[in-house]
Amino acid sequence: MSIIKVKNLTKTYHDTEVPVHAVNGVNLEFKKGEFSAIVGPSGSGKTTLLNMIGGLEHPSSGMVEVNGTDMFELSSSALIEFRLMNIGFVFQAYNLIPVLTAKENVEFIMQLQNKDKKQMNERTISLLESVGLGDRLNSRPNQLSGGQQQRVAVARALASKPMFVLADEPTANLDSKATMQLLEIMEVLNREENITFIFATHDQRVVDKAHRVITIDDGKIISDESVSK
Amino acid sequence: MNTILKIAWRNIWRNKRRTFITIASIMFALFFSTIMRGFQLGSYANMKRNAVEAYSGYVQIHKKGYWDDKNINNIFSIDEKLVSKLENDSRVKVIIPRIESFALASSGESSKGVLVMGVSPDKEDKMTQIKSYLEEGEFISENDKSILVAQDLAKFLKVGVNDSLVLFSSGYHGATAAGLYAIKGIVKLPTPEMNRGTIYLPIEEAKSFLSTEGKMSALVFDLHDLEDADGVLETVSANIDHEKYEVLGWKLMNKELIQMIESDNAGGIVMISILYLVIAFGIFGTVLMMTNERTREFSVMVSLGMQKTKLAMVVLLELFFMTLLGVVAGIAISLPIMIYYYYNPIVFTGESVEAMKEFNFEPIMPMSLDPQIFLTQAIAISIISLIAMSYPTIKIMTMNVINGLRS
Repeated sequence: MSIIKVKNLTKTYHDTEVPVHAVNGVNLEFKKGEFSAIVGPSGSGKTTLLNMIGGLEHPSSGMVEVNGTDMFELSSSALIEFRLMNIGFVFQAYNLIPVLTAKENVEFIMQLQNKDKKQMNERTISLLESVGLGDRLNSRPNQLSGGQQQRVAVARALASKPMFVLADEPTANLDSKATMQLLEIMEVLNREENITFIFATHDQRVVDKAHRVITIDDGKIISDESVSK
Repeated sequence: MNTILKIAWRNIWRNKRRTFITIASIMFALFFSTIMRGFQLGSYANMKRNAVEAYSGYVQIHKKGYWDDKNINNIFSIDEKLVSKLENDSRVKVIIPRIESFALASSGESSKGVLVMGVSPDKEDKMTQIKSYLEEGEFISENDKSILVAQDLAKFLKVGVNDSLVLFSSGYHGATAAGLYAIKGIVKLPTPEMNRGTIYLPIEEAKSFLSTEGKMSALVFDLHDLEDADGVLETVSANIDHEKYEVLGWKLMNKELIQMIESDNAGGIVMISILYLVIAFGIFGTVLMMTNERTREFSVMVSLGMQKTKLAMVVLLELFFMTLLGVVAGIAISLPIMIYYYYNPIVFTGESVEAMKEFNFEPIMPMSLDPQIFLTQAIAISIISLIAMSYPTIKIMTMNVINGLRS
């Protein structure tokens, strides 16, 4: 059963003289537990598509339905709450809160969800241990390498037990070793905890790990292939 | 809430130098404004006290028309029962009868027009503490036929204790008033104008000197608390015959002083406003940088699920912490100085003394420790911060998350 339904999604920018169709009539569905990659050249519209799936950007037309909820029908604050409860984000530039430690960054999401303190503490430690950072709980982002920061970001994305995780170019700033470590962690989480991951990437190493590869160009889906592993 | 407080507190120390500069600017603004206001309000209070306690009292009863025409013929007598009744009012400290008139005082080759105050010495002392102003000689008593002379007047007339002074005036209904009085004491009065030309004599002797037939020119009320002045004024007004008498409050009797204080106060407020305007720009500059350099961070937090109102609260708390630290530091450095000057007022010396006396000011600058000074300045700075807070609040509430993430 699909947890995400993207219907006729279009995003047109009118900032330039000629309107730019960043996403043009996209229809997609994602099932629980998928490990999918949206690929395409720079400017193809993959990040815009991902942002709309995550409810960060409003479409010009069309809809994104998550578990039966049309996200863009929600009010601004309800949409933020919806994201908090259902979607995890991993950004290219890690985007950890610089004044919080690794542990506090992960806890931050659960605190916004008003989770119980004990439960929060246990889950945070377990998540950071699962991304190999059990010994760096009290390190601030500036005391961690890029790869470590991105692993904290993954732990943070999973903290809220989201329905799916959106990762926009998560490996773009990482070296090969860190990339492989990160991908392995996400693969394990996908396999063992059935967490849905959707990547926007042009990193072949990510594509190689994906079970489904969606190619986008000029805002349109060019191909949508399942890859047997 | 814990996380919000934690993030806000840690955020202000991200750029320590900027935070210290902002806190320091608030601290110095508060320091200068409290010291300035402290001296201003201290001086005003001293002027009011001098005017009220050294002369006018808080309320006075006269014969109708006396205040506009201070003539020895405008004197009155009043029902003693009413005076006793008013004296029993718990707000009233003492009621003082006075006879005031002008006379020519002469000694040897010197003479000068003076204010003759016929007073009940002990009662007068309760309000004006005139005994404490005694510089030489002794204080007069009810039955004395001697006088007290103000210090500057004594200097002018070149007289001292045990010398004699001739007083010449016009008494009640045109009677000739003339008398030779021994000087029992010299008093240094706090109000320069009074110190230049006042003579005190016991009220019974004054009645005799001016042939007042037992009448007086004023009944002066001293109160325990300035706050009760309006209430007592109302009570007295309600109890007297307005066809025969007039009742005046201290503000009306010291109209010029009040106007002078108000205009000087307005000048002080303008000065402080300019100071605060400069500080406001400083605070706003900090807020502007604090907000704009973190647009991406704000966008990330909203993307992750933090409500914009909570995020705005983080930034508001940051500014609140900085304001609070600035205000506390400002009070901490100004308070010891204010306490010192409260107990050790600045006493002017040299040429400035004469200049101040010319304007009828006591040549001292006392400090006020009225808590309202700190409260008002803290509120003023808080209002500035509150206005500055509107920028990040609007910025966050109208923030486009995608634009922020791209920044």
